[in-house]
Parts: sequence; C-alpha cells; structure tokens
Amino acid sequence: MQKIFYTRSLFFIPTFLLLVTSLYAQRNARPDVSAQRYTISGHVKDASTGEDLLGASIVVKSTGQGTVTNAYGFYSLTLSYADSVTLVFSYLGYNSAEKPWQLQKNLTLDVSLELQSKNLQEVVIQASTLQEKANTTQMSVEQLTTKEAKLIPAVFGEVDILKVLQLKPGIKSGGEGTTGLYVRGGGPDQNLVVLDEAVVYNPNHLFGFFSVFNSDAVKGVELYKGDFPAQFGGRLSSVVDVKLRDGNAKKFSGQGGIGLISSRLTLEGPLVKDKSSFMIAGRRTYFDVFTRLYNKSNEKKKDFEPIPDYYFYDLNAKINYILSPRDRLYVSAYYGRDVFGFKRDKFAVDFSWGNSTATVRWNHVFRPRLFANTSLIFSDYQYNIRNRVDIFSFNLSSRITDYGAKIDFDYLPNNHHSVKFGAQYIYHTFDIGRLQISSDDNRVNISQGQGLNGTELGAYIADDINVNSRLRLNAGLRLTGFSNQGKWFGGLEPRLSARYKLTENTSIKASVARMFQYVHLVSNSGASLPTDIWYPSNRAVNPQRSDQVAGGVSFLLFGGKYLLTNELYYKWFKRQIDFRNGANLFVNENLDAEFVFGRGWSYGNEVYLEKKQGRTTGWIGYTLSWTYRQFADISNGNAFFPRYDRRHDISVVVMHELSPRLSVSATWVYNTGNAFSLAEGRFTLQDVPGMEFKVVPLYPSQRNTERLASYSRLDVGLVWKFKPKWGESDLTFSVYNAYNRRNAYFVYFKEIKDEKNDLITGFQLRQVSLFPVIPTLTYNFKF
Amino acid sequence: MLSQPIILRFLLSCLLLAGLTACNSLQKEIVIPQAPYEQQLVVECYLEQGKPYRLLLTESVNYLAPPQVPIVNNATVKISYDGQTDELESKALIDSTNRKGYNYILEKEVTGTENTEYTLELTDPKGRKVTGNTRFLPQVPIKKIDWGFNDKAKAYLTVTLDDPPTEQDYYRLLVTIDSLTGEVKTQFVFDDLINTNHEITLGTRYNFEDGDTIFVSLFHIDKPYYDFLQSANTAANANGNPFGQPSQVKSTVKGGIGIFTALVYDRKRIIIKKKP
Repeated sequence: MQKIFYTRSLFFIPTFLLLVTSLYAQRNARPDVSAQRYTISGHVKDASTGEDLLGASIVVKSTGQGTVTNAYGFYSLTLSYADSVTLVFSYLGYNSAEKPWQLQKNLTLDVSLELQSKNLQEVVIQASTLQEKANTTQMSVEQLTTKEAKLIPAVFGEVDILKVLQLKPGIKSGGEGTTGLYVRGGGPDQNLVVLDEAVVYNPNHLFGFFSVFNSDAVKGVELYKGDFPAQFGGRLSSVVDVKLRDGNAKKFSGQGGIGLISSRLTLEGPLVKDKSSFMIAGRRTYFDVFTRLYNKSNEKKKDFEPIPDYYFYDLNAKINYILSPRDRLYVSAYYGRDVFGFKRDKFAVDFSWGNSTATVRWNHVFRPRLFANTSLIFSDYQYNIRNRVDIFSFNLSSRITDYGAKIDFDYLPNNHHSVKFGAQYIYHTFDIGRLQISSDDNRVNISQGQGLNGTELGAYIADDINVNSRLRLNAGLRLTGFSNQGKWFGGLEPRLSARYKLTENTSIKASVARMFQYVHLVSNSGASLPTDIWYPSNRAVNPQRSDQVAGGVSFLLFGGKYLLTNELYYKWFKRQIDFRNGANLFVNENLDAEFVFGRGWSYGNEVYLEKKQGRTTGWIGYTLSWTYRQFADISNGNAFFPRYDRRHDISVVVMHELSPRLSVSATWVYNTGNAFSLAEGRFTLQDVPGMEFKVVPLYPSQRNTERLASYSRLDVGLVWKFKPKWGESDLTFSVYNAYNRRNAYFVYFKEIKDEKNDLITGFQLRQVSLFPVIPTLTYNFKF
Repeated sequence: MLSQPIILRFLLSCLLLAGLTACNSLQKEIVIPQAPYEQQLVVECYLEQGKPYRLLLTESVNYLAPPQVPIVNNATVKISYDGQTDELESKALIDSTNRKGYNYILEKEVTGTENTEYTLELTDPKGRKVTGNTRFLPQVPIKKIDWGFNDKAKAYLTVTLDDPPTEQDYYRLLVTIDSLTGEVKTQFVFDDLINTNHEITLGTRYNFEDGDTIFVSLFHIDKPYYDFLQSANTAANANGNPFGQPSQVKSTVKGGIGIFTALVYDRKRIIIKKKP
C-alpha cells in the first residue's frame, strides 16, 4: 500500500497558528481568574412553526459579545457571573427578543422568535445579518433563503434556488436557462451539492433546465465559493449546502402551487405537538399530459411524428423528533426521477435518471459547550436506457451509490474559540457503462460493464478564534484519504481565514483553502448530461486538487443598511481531466485510456453591493474574471478558455414591497458570451461505394477561440398576496426575458439547399436562441 | 389599490402579447469575422484487391465558401509497394456505376497481398506534400445472415461474424438494398469489444420487405481508418449540437487531410424471403 501526502509543510501552518492564537487569545481572555463562568445554551426557533433558525444571532446587549446558531439552531455562549445579563436574539425577518437573565449557573434557554410585523414602517434597522456578514471570518459565501428566492422572477414560474445563486458574483450559469453552477473557474462536477448532508450527484432535471430542489421543501442554501469550512471536502470549486425544512411542529398545514409546467404540494404538521413534526413535499411536471393529447389528436395524420413523453417528479420527506432536551433525531429523504419515453409500433425507448438520498441524524448536547451531530447517509444516482426494437433489447445503465457515516462536534470552550472537529467515512460503489444487448431468441447476447468501489475518509479540526476586538482567525485542517483497487491517496487540506476590523464598519479579510476531489465526472459534452458517469481515482487517474487564495474588504454603509464587498481571488487547478479526441465514453472497459490530464487556473475580482432590509432589497454584483485550462493533448498544449470563461458578469436584483399584499421584483443580467469552437473549414468526403457524400467540418487545433454574442436579459415579477379564510394565497406573475432578446444558445453552419433538386447551394452561419419572452402565472397557496 | 379584475386583465393581455411575440423565429443568420483560411490538400484513396488505382485530390475550403469542391490536378502521385512504384495519371474519371469521381487513376490492378505495405507520396503543383501508408488486413468472413418478419411484413437482418481472438479488430458493416450503390439501410462502425465468446452479431431495424435484394458488406478495417471515420462523424455531429464537443478529424495521411487505406471485405448478396 502506498500513501501519498501532499505538501506536508502546509500541515504545520494552521496547526501552529491554532496553537499560538489559542494561547494568545486565552491569555487575553483571562480578565479575572476568580470569576465564575457560566454557559447559556439552547435552540432558537420560529414561534409559529417550531422550526430551528439557522444563523440566528445572540448578542449580550451591554458588551456586544455574541454568537450565532449552528446548522441545527443550537447556540452556546459562555459568560462571566453577572446579576443580570440581557441577551438579544435576532434573525432577519423576525422580531428580535430581548431577555434579562441572572447568570449564576449554566442555563438552557430555548427562544422562539415571531415573524416580523407586516407594518414595515415599524422595522428598525439594527445590527443585522449584514453586520454579521461583515464581522465573520467567513468570506466567499452566499446565503439564500427560499423566502428570498420566491420573490425573484423565474422562468416558467419555477422558483429555483440554484438559478437564483447564479445571480451572485463569481457564480455563473452554463448557458440559457440551465442550473449548472460554474464557480470561480470550476466546472459543474466540481461542486459538492449536499441536501441535508447527503450528496446529490446530479442536481438537475430536464438536462439542467431545472434543479432537483423543490422550493417549498427547502429552508435555505449556503454556497461556499472559497474559504471552505473544514467540515466540507471532496470537490474543488464550491460547496452547495441545501437544508430541508423540518415541518411545522405546532399545527398541521400545507402549501403548494399550480404553475405552467408543474404543480407541487407540501404537507406538514406535528406528530407529537412541540416534540415531533413531519414534512412531505411532492412535485410533478405535466408536459406529458399535453403531448399525449397532441399525439392522440394527430396520430392519423400522414407522416406524423409523435412527441416523446417526458416528465419529472420529486419527493422530499422529513421527520424530526425531540427525544430529550439533549437529543434530537432527524430523518430526511429525497427521491426524484426524470422519465423520457417513446413508443411506436415495436420500437420503444425508456430513459430514466435520478437521485435518491436518505439521512438519519442524531443531535446530542453532551455539555452546554459541546454539541455533536452523528449522521448516517445514503446517496444514489443512476440512469437507465432501455431500448427495444421488436425482439432486440438494449439496456445501458450507470450508477454511483454511497453509504456514509459522519460525526461532527461543535465545542465552544469560551467566547474566544469556537472549535469544530469531526470525521467522515464514505463507501462508494460505481457501476459504470453496464450494457446488455439481447434478443428474445438468444442469438444476440452481449453483456459489458465495470463494477468498482472506493473508500473515502476525512477528518478535520477548525477553530474560529476571536484574537481581539479587531482580529479574528479561522484556522482549520482537513485530512482526507481515498482507496481504490489497492491504491491509497491522501491529502492534507489547510483552510485558513482572517478578518481584521479597520473600523467598526470596515473589515479586511483573507483566506487560503486547498481541496481534493477523488471522484470525477466523465463528461465529453461540455455540458452536464444525465448520461455522464462518475469515476473514481485509481492507479491511472490521480485526484484533482485546487488551491485558492482570496482577499477582500467589506464596508457597512449608511448605518448598516448596505454591505459593499470586494473580493479578489486566484485559484490553481491541478490534474484536471479531459478526454482525447473521439473518446468512447459509453461502452468502454478501459476508460482510463481515454483520459488526458492537465491543469487550470482562474482569477478575478468580485464586487457586491447588498441591501437586505427595508421595503426595497436586493443586490448588484459584478465579476471580472479569467479562466484557463491547459492540456498537453489539447490545443497543441496551449492554454485555452473553457466554454464558461466570461470576462464580465453583471447582475442586478431589486425587490420592492409596494404594500403588504403587493411586491414587485426585477433582475437584469449581462455577461460576456461563452467561448466556443467554430469550424474554420470543411471538406467533402465521398466515401466508399454506397455511401453518400458528406460535408465534414474542420475545427481549429486551438479550442474555444470564438465567443458567442454577449448575453443580457431582464426578468420582472409581481407577487399579489391574498388572505382567504382558509389561509394565504398569492398570484405570482413573472416575465422571463422581458425585452425578448434573442440570446445566443449556440451557432452552427446550415446547408442551404435547392428545394427542387435538394442540391447544396451554399452555407450560412446561424445563431440559435432558446427562450423568447416567457410570461408565466403561478398560483400558490398555504393553509 | 388596484382591483383584482384589472390585474387579471393586465396579466392576460401580457400573456397574449407574449404569445404573439414569441412566434418570431429563434434563429438568425450571423457573421463572425474569421482569419483567412489556409486551404489544405484532401486525399481519398481506397485500394482494393484486383481493382485499378483511383484517387481523388481536392482542397478543403472556408466553411462559407461556395459549395463546389476544388479539384487539384497535375500533382505527382506515387504509390509504392514491395519495392515497386506506380505513378497515377492526372485524369478525371466519373464512375457512374458507383457515383464517385476521381482525378488520379492508373489502370493497373492492385495485387493486394496480405500485410504488403503500400505507401502514398503526393506532391501538388504548389509543392505541398502528402504521405501515407497502409496494408491489407486478413478478411473476416460473414459467418451468417438471418432475418425475421414482424406482423407488418417488414424484416430485420442479423449479421454474425467470428472475431479473431488475437488482437483488437475494427469493422464497418454496410447494408444496401437493390445494388451495391443502392440506398444504405444500415451502417455500423464498431470494434470487437462487443463480442460474446469471440462472436459478434448485429441486428438491423425493420428496413426490409419480402423479395428485397440485399448486399451486406463487412469491412475489416485498421485502427487509423476506424479513427478517421469516428472523428469525421464526431466533427460532423458537433455542428448544430449544443452538447457536442467539436473534435479534429484524425486523418490517416500526413501533410494534409484524408484517408489512404486498403479495403478488405466480405460481401454477400441475399434475397429476403418469408420462411415457410
């Protein structure tokens, strides 16, 4: 067994810093050794549903000392003995709660916050989420709640959190209408997408036009594009952490919507009031209902080609149970499928693909300062193509299945340290390119495929250190390993970030982070397709690696109403994977021979201005960036731009509440067109006797030398709320691409033919657009 | 405050308007300035045992150039094998039977013994040189052709071959109807990874009828020819496919584009008949 450890010296940097700053902080944190210290801990919840509030802030009014709730709504704050201490609990969109307490022993304090009053005139701008964003050491992170996402106009009215994330700086879409995320020069396969801690290997429906996340079931999402917390690993470019809602623990309720292409319904309620709740959500499209009707009405027409059936659906379910004041249990699951079917005479194709995930989590508070979460995790992604032509059957499938376990601890020894540590184990199984061709009479019987497995391990420790009122550090280290076919890989991933407060409203931040990726997406399409295959590192395929440095500055403006940030980043990609020309990725037991390996780098500057409170909210983001790849076997070894390299990327999002019942929103995006390869020449191949002449394009040796036209789009939306007796409802009207711009989706050469004799008379370069102006009306309800 | 009916009327009007606007075409002609294209020689030459030498020499062109194929005449074209060199004459020939055209010919039969290496050397009047080499592979015979009918009186074919177990082999299967140059009903380019116990059986769709005369040609091809066919196909398919990754054509010749290869095939003619 061989172990490879990368850059051992880097291991010592964060460890040393951890030790030094820890000692320094403890020395400074020793105001009076005789003083008794007590811990206040508990959960912060939504008063109406009992759901945990993630990232709620808890601040000591007199000193400004504070903390925030973790991913399970838990907080812990250790303070010196006091006759009276007033804590302020706050969360965006909720009324703050102030409570005085005598601090003479450890306290468990669960607090419920009420949703903010609808009378916006009364809202007081206070130390807010923006303040916390400016204060934290964490940089390069984007947070989004479903509530915000629902206000932003969406194509076909389908609210999609991943598409909203594409409006943030540094995050790009792959193309018109798609959910693929390209983060700081990384590909969509380099994003770790987790739903309640389970990896979602393909977060797309309908070839990327919709994400798998049902907005009614999702609480919120955090996307880390750099400065990755040490508890995450396994992908190079981003972490997309999606949390499902827990369900209403107070009363039975439901919500749903009827849209242009799909409908959805969510039911939730208490199983045992204030102790246990459930949530179940479903969504299904109905293209197939219309296409079947259309096919039926035209089936007698001569030469009529029926439209294939297509639909997708997904189901989310979650149960949580408060076992005791110290123990909580969460069980959550996702199941979704895209189904494409075509049948005519004795020819039939069924193509289905989708993810399944399940997570069982147990929270336990060992002591007020020590919180633990233990998870058992299952993830699966598979596709199956079943084709039948009379007596012949053709089945092609691939699958990746993970069985994992994870334990994470939050340890808060004092208010100067917040330590996280834990470990993770994943057993991957890969079923790659499983092909079966057979005939009913057994004359044809071909079977091929590759079964592989791999073990991925991770352990981490990180400390968020409040060195003094100006300097705060987060030092972390993650140790990862991967084993496949008797080959071991290992890597040390240092994570380090710092914040220095220049003034009360101005901070500078910097971070470094290393990531390893041990499983790779085999995709030769330049876009994410359901038939792309996940493939493990092995003797021939080393793990991918990225190193990123970032630096930034944050300004709180106009009394904390606005946050202006600017971040610069540089990222190095090692051992990137591409494919040799003409690679066969579908049925190939020797895929290793098809890979080529190279490197990449990207750099850029992201400017972001955000306003989160008041009647008008929104943000403006601008990214200036460059992304390169370089492979010895591609473009004659020269560096080239990947498709998604874009020089300029601008997004403007504005939401305005006209009245408590009526709100409007608009988004405008502009970006440089995608890079692409355009054939420069052609030749005519006459081929052997029997074959027809064929025009063959000649592409330049340098890849992606051309640019599509720049992209711009304005979307507008209007939400009109009603208060029927049985609950709440709204009509959401949105117009996608309001000025009906024909944005380029791709370009191609068209043969112009003489209609009389079918002879080619010339060639034209044509641009194809995808979506014109699309207005949509969606009816949503809640009871 | 706006009343509900007014809002609804507004929304419906927007929907109607958008529906009309959206009817416009989603395609348009565009112009992208490109650097001047440097034309390259394009060679097509297939050697067949017992057949005369035939070669087509043309040039590649800018994609938007007129559709006429630029013929390159007066080049020196030599093919060598076993220490002999034959020079092809620059002369136009239209093979009306096969519906193919050539501009270099030699009315001498290719002997085509197995494993004899043939070398192409070509120099055009501008001094551009193209070279290539190939050799005849052993023939792989068609072991069996069978067919079956569905209830609409349409027939499918199965073609079986024994794949030599020694090394990796590549094949091209052509099924034409009525004549060798008739409509191609099936074409497969494949390697031997799909074998079962060194036997490969391929099936066609229901393309045939009772009484059809079918020509089945099984070419045993080398890897360079296989790569050329696959890469030309990939390049052609990438045009107009937003998910395709454009790739360069892998020619079997150096100094230009194209194919110089020896064709070895087994061919059978059958007449489809309903079985009693």
